[in-house]
Amino acid sequence: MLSFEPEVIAARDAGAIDPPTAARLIAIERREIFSVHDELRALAWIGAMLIITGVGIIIKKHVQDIGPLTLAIAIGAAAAACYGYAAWRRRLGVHNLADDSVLLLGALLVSADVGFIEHQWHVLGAEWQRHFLLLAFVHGVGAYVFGSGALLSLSIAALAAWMGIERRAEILFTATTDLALRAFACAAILVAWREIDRRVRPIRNFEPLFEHFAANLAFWGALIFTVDRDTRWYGLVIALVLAAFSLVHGFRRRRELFVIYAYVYGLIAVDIVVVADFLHDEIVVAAYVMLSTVAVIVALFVTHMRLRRAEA
Amino acid sequence: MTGMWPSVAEERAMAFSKRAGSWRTVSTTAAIAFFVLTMLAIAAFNWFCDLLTLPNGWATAIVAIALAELLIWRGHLWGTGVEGALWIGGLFAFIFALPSSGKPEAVLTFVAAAAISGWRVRNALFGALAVVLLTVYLMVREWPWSAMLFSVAVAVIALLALIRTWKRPSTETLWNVLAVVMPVAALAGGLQAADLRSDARVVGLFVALAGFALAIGIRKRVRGALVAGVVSIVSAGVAAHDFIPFSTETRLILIGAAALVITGAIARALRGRERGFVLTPTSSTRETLLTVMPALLPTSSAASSPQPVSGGGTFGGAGSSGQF
Repeated sequence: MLSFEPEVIAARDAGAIDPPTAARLIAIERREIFSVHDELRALAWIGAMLIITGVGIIIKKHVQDIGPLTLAIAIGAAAAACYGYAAWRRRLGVHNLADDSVLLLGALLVSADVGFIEHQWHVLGAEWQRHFLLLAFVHGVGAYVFGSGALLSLSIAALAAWMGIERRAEILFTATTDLALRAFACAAILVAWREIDRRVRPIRNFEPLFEHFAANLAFWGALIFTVDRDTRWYGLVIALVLAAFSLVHGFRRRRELFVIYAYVYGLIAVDIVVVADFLHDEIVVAAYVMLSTVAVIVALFVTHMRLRRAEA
Repeated sequence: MTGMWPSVAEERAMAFSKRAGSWRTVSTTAAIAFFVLTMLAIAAFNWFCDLLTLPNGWATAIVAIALAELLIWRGHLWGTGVEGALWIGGLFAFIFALPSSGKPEAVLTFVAAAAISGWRVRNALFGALAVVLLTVYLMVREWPWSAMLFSVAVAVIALLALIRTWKRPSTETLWNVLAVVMPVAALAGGLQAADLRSDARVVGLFVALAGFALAIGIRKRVRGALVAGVVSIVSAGVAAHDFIPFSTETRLILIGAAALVITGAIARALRGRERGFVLTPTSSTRETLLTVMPALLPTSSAASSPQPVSGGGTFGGAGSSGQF
């Protein structure tokens, strides 16, 4: 075990914290008050993930045994039960740690069911991708009704999927510039959505989600541009501009991850351009990659220290 | 106090501030980013030396470790991810450059590298990696019972160690990581042998370990032991694969549903409690200490009289910096 009781006592004796606060903190450090909040939330989340994994295996292996219509109805009913439970709990004004995970499970079951129905009966025909748009809408509505960040994440992921964007590392090297443009468009939609959300809702709990998704999608679009020979320099300029915005945003909002995005994505973009267009000798490439990475480490460290000082 | 690593007081202070005395650290997120970038730089340097037909293993190890020591002794960087990556990256690069004998004992060189790196930078993950690699060595030697029993023994030792109050956060983290990881290593060791996959003794071993871990976790209120208990239960379930008549997907659904029901039941039972096991998040404790502790941190000069923090984060004590 680790106990910070001596530090709390020192802070109390120095007058930095009042005695009632110190008493509570000491009780926590002595395990007289022991929160299992985070552990139970994690357990509930794992439970939801296990169920949806099992459902996925059933869809894959037993569709002929169970029958596609029965399967679709059963999954839909289970999803409805999850949403019904979440809505009932909300109406009662009570909240349990498992409730968020039950809601998430319902949303995942909806995604599985819609995908299965479309795959099985081709309801949308040649426009099959629109089932992602449907999911983005359904999960988005659910996110706002229940105030759920998890559902918002599913909605954004479905939106990106509808626009044909997948977050796999290898896609960077096989994607066309068309995909990059779609990534930019998706990022722009998320920025606009964030602005609307800010004006409509007083609570800002969705803001970080919009920002992180938009930043990563935009950076990925820029990197796809840099990989393609014809758009390489456009991609570099876009990546550096985005890095500058990300750096400023990180400092203004005290969000360290945006500072890291700026340096890491910026490094990747610059390295791609320099190695592809200017360096051809392997030794020089190795030396350049080493030195550029060291330079970014130093710059990121200095910036990080400044961010910490600005936070203090 | 400067030295080869922070003092106990300084290491404890770094839990609340990115500066303690003359030592500087960074957040966990930044440390991960620095670790990855440093490993990339080491790989590039290793490649560079290889292309120049230099002894890349030796060169990388010497340069990386020298640089790590320079950053620790002169720069007083600690837990930034950079010095840790330099140590373990340098040693691993040296080992990879050695001619491969193909013998199982080659794994022990990685064990030594991880252990030395872990000891030098007091990194719990490196230390746990060393112990896990020992289990891997026993598995490579095709000694499944030895691998399993060794891992369980380490887990038991870690759980017992967690009962004691440790002063250094890094030591406590090491025991926590070992308690959680070693049941998984034991399972991997056990499943290596086909005849152990349906052995009731293996299941019994994990059930006993789970009971022991949960008993410690509940009685002594040790978070790592509670997690280790759950991990051991899962390991027991996997080991009992052939004894459970249901298909994989059915088991996943049933276990998932049970997890949700158990969570709800425990949450309902603990609702409104203010002592003992509670549901209220206690992260506010650390936030409170994050706010006030920088005023009381040890400084690089003689001890200064602590002053209450007011307004922002600036203050002035004898010899101490006014900002973090």
